[in-house]
Amino acid sequence: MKFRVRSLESKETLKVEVPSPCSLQDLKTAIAHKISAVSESLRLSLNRTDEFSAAPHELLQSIGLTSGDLIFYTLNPDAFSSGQALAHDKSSFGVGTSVSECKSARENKGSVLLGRTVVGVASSSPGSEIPVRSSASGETVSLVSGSEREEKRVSEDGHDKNRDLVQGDGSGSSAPEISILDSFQGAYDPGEKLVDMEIDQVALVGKSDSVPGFLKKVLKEEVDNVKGNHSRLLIVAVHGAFLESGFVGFDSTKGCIIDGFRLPQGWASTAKPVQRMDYSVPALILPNSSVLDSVALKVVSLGKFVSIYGSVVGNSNVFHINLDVSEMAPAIDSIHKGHGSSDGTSGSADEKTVFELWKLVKDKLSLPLLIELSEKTGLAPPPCFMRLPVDLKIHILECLPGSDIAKMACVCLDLKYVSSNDDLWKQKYSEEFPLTAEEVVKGARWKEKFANAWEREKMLKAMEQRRESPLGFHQNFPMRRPVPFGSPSFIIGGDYDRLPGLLGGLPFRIGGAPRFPPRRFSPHSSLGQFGV
Amino acid sequence: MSESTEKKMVRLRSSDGEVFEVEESVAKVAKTLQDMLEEDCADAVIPITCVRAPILTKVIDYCKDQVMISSSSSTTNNPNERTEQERKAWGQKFMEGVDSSTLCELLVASNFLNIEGLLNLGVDKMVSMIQGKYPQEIRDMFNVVNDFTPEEEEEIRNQNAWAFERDPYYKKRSSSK
Repeated sequence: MKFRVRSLESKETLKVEVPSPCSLQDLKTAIAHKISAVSESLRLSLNRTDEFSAAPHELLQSIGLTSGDLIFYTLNPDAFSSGQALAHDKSSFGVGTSVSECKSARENKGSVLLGRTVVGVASSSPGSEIPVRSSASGETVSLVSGSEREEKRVSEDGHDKNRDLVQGDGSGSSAPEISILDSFQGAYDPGEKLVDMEIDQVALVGKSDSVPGFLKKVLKEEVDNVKGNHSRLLIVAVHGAFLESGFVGFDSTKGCIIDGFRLPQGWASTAKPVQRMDYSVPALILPNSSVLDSVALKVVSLGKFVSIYGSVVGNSNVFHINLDVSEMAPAIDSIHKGHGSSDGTSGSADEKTVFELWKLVKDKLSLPLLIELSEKTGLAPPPCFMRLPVDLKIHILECLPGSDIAKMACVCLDLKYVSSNDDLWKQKYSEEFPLTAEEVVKGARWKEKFANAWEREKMLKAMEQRRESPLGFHQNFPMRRPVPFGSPSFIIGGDYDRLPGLLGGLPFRIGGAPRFPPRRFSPHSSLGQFGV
Repeated sequence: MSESTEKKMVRLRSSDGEVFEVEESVAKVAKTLQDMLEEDCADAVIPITCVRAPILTKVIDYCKDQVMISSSSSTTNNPNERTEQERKAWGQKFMEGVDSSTLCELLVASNFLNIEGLLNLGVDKMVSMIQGKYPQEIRDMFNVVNDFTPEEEEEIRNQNAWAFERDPYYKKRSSSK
């Protein structure tokens, strides 16, 4: 049975496959394995609001789950109402935003700095306590059956009382902002938390990319016909790349269009050493589903190699590629089978091989054929950017900043795959963020690393802006120098940077000109040099 | 002066059949042609199959200019040699008014003919066109069809959501969402 599972928070969708008689517990274990979490902390729901109430050993069929269902999951014990839990009180979800913002940090045993909001929800025992947020003070108090726990929490927070007072004094509306700021501080102060957070995000993001889109769809349809036959696997991959280029499969013996991602019926059962596949484009298909012009591919299996000859029907030009079955097919196979494996490094060599295969088919077969077909029939040729060879596209992407590459990935299927190249992201990461030795060794999934580092910088930036804001409440915070990792360029500014020791005693400037001429002394200098 | 010996002419034929006659030194700016000429495997007309005439004209303009720079700098040592700034300005002028489809064709041509300088100019131009644009703007600029299914598009947008939010390096822009 196959299921789609979607994270409630990140909306990330994964695919999970379980053996057919399967209990709820087995499914949880499978999902937990995928997202690298503990199955006990996993909550599942079909409708995003009610958790599955069945006993762990009950079979999925008896709960009413069928293959293909979309299941929502969360690690937040209070996100779904579970029937037994007391967490029905909707008011307790007022903290929603701040909870999800610092969710990952909270899982690292909710540091005191994260503030009470988080501590209250962090407890993983639903039913025993209800976090309640008082809107006036921005405080969250946990109602626990035994009162010692609460006392303990208060004493934990004891030295943070000042902060709470500040929150209380401020207007009610500023309170949520403060709690978010708190969570930033908590999450970004100690280096170890950063690493944990990164791992957590990597576990939640990604994996869906390990099987390239062009393979995923055709393999899903044709997996029964492949069955370990390597040259067939290769044919399926070439077919996938062709469909992705904009071609439509066409059954020349029956004279009809093939819907979806299938190959012509019975292609795998013929014993002929030469296979023929026909393709056309949607614009050349008549309403009665006959085809004006088409492209023919001839696939010749010669021992270790598969040769593919492509030509526009009626033209003499023949395009030709040779594929090494023993090299390409195992890579496709392992990427397809290793869908669930979380080890990025071993898969990356296979991913590169498949990318090379795709590039070869694209540059040497599908694109030239598409251009020739459109020239012959007078159709508009493929868009100019799409006609660039894959290497040139990569070269252009290499010259763009990371955020623009990510936007390019959202343009179309082709660019999505080109921009998923791990080496590209590794290069971008090293350009835009300082590399640590550990990261160099780890190598793989650089895009996720880049995105995480990016988010980190953004939060720091937000924190910086908050500090410079004229509210003034933050003077009582235990201030720390942020940014344990490089790039000091954007933490410049604010009185704190110029006068680290004086902050508490100085009135804050609200807008206006700087009180002191900037940069007449170094940021860490003592006041003596200032000549006061 | 080497010019007297290099008066040999080379004929190039574009994909649409137009024949261009250029000095050998000009043709040799393109590494691909240089290799062919040095191996003497191109005596009559060299077909440049993937480059149309208007594009080939532009490419030849570039090559002629390169020959002019290199010959003037080798004979008179310094005065005519361009500074870095002048080179940049010249490159910008050369690429001025080039639209996206011409640019792509120029890229393909310089890639095929292996003219590194022109390729770099083209890539720089391309980067400046793409930078800071949102996916739909990029699609509009290059006439690219959005071939994602709605689910796929949602997925890829979610995966790359970080890039769409206010970024720390650039000024805040109006959001496309």
